[in-house]
Amino acid sequence: MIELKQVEKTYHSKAGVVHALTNINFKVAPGEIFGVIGKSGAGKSTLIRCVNLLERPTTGQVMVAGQDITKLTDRELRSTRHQIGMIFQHFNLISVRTVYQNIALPLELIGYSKEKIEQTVMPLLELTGLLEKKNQYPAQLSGGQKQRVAIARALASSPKVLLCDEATSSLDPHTTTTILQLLKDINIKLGLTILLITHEMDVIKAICDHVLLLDKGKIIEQSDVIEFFTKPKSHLAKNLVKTSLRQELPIILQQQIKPTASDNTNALIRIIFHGHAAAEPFIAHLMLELNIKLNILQANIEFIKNNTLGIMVTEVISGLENLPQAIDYLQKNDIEIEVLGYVERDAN
Amino acid sequence: MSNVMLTEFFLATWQTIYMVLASGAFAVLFGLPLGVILMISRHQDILENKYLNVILAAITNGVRSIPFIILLVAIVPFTRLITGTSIGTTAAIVPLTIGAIPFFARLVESALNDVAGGLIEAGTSMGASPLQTVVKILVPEALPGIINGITITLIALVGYSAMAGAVGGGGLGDLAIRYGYQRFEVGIMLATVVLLIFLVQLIQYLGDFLAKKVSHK
Ligand SMILES: Nc1ncnc2c1ncn2[C@@H]1O[C@H](COP(=O)(O)OP(=O)(O)OP(=O)(O)O)[C@@H](O)[C@H]1O
Ligand SMILES: [Mg+2]
Repeated sequence: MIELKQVEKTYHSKAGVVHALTNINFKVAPGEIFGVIGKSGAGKSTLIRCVNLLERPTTGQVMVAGQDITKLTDRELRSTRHQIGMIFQHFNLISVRTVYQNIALPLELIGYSKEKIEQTVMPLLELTGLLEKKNQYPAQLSGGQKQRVAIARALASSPKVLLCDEATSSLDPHTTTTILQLLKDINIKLGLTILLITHEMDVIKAICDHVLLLDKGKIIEQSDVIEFFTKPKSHLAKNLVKTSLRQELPIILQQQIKPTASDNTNALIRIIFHGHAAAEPFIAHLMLELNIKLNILQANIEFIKNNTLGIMVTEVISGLENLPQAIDYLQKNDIEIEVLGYVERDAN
Repeated sequence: MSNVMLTEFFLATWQTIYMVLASGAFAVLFGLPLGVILMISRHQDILENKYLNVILAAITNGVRSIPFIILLVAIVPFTRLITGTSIGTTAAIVPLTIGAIPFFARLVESALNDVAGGLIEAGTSMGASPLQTVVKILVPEALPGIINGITITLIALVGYSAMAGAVGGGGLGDLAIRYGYQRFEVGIMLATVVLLIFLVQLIQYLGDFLAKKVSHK
């Protein structure tokens, strides 16, 4: 649905040349929610703005629904932009227009009749839960309601693609959840393809199918969201995942952990299981078949894209010699296992 | 106050109101588009045109830097061309308008510049053409600011219109100068001043009221 090929963006300013984007290649499949994550200044906004040419890439192609939009004339580009909705961190609603009139704006731009506008706007008010607020002005709304108006407005011209530039970054956690829910809803109901950018892993975790990690204008990593959380490859991704899944060990363990084994130490292992593996009674298997005794120190269950993701830190009380077989067995069942280090027996 | 005096008073008041409203209306008519063009020709997301911008800005600043009393006299041929005469109240409207257009245009430009860049961007992302951006987004969103600009322009015109006496335009300012300054009739001068203050207050009050009414911030 969206494909960027060899996109580069360079800014020339008084302070010098900034390579905001280099060698950007990625594809967003129809109907998926594609998340781009990165630190402040990574180039996320530049990237998403290249998709509807609010920012023109210095070089490269931007394909939307099969056509390279960098080649379009101004007029063609305007009509293509009706196919690409966009919402912003600061909502960008027109303060002198009511909720209804704001949602009607893109339709007025296309030139719809009053009746047709009403037929389109009313269901959107309903979808976004704004029927009662129809005649209010943006200043009378909460942040979450404003973003709903912006979403309804972006959907008015029945776009194929929705771009979200930090859509939840100025909202509180609860409102964030409801807005993400709404995005997921319209993704399913309307089959809308969503490209969103964020600096929050929670957003990725909550609704994304695919993740792209951006740093200093370059793509560091891109993968399916489950793979991203279970098998992050880059150092940056590993750190993000670790923090996001609260995989940090309790401080008391961090102080005791040693990199090498000795006579009076037990191994600390982390087990990560997801999807169908969560149904596998693997702890029983380790204990009964391989004689490995485990002591669970920390456990955490996350839901990512309708999948259960379990993370468990355990101390191996006995049977360490069978660990290679255990690793073998776990990996066969798609369970990740990692030896974190060693702690003294009875340390806890 | 004698009957003759009272008639003169009414006449002068009417002349001031007539000059201010007529030149104000023309200033808005021409200054609004000029202000819009000044703004959008500078803005890369709408219709950037550096040459046009530089030329219009130069003309605008040029006219603004001419003292009004000189403008009044300098454009006499032009005034005659338009109104058929170079003296009288109607004739005074021409220089007042010429002086007010660039003044108001700059106020419009600044009101438009105050519209958040994000709104223009949102319009662009919705596929708005430059004209649509101006008509559907920029001007409506800047309307409270533009109304404030009209208020300021009208009040400035009340001041300028006092000089219209120089071309026989009459008005309250002229009355104050003729009776108060030249004949030492302090009472009349005070009365005109009070009336002028009242006029300015009225314009300000109406302007503020309207600006508040159209603003929903
Ligand atoms: N118009 C511009 N002129 C010059 N440099 C720019 C411009 N826009 C962005 N940049 C630079 O490009 C880089 C990427 O900026 P961008 O806004 O895309 O980052 P971001 O990932 O969205 O950051 P944030 O999370 O803070 O919004 C930054 O170094 C920024 O300074
Ligand atoms: Mg940004």
